[in-house]
Amino acid sequence: METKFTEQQSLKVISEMINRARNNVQKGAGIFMIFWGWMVAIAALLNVVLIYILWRISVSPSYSFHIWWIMLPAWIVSFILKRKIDRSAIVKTHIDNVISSVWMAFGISNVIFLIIIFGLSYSLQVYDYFFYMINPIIILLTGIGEFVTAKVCRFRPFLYGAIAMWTGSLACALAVMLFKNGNGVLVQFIILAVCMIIGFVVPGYKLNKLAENNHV
Amino acid sequence: MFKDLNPLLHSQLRLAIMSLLIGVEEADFVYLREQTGASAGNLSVQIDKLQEAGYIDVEKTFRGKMPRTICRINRVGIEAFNEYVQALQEYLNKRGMNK
Repeated sequence: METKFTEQQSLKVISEMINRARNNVQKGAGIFMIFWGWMVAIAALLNVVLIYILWRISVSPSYSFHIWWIMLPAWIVSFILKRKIDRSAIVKTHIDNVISSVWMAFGISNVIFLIIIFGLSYSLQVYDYFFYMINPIIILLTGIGEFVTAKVCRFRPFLYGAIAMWTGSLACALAVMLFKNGNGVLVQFIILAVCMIIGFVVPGYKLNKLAENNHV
Repeated sequence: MFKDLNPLLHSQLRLAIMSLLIGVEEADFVYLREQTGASAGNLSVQIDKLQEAGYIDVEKTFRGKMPRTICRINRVGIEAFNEYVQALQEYLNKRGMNK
């Protein structure tokens, strides 16, 4: 390959290599979207089932929210997985850094938001109004993260995912208005599960497929 | 006045390495080999030349028991690459005007 080459060839090499680096999608890049998509969707649906069961046996349905503690081991699994993938990655792009930072900011914002919601609801002894806010706001924040990811990656399915999240966020608010006697929160969890599958699981699989094709 | 093209960068493989590294934070030797299609020996020689010129930083490490070489373009390398692209543009513009 070490031969003299023309200026035109030189330009061609530069543009070709820059494009290759730009279009780089690592194998299994969608794994986190798929993992979190299924985790949250399953937890949301289990929450629906638990609310229904607790109602039937006349126990406070609020106990069903403890299902969300499952997110703690999920974070640990996700963290270990991320470290493993980072170590085996043969290239680290600026885009990877931006995406990691966006989702890290999302995670931190969620924790702060939950501290605010639970802090306010317990100190003011007002529960319903605050708890109805949890799903729409978290879905809204997810939409922001996914929108930025879509723009940075230039991957259209993430954009549709972001639109699904924002629509889901509005639908969650609407559910509280339409379904009374606590049924609103039940519908919110169903919306959350649907949003996670449309907005996370489907684009995640599509990204994996794209990565597979890139590496053939 | 037309600037001469930097001879260190005006080589197909070295330019390919620099063009790849300018778009990423860091790249493994395996990635550079996959993208350039060069042989391991040739790639290794060209990486050494770029490192000696101070254009890239090379970190030799281990993944388990396997040796690993990670390359990063540095500030000197970015400046040299920008100057090269600028000189190339001037050269092509000049040629375009002479036609």
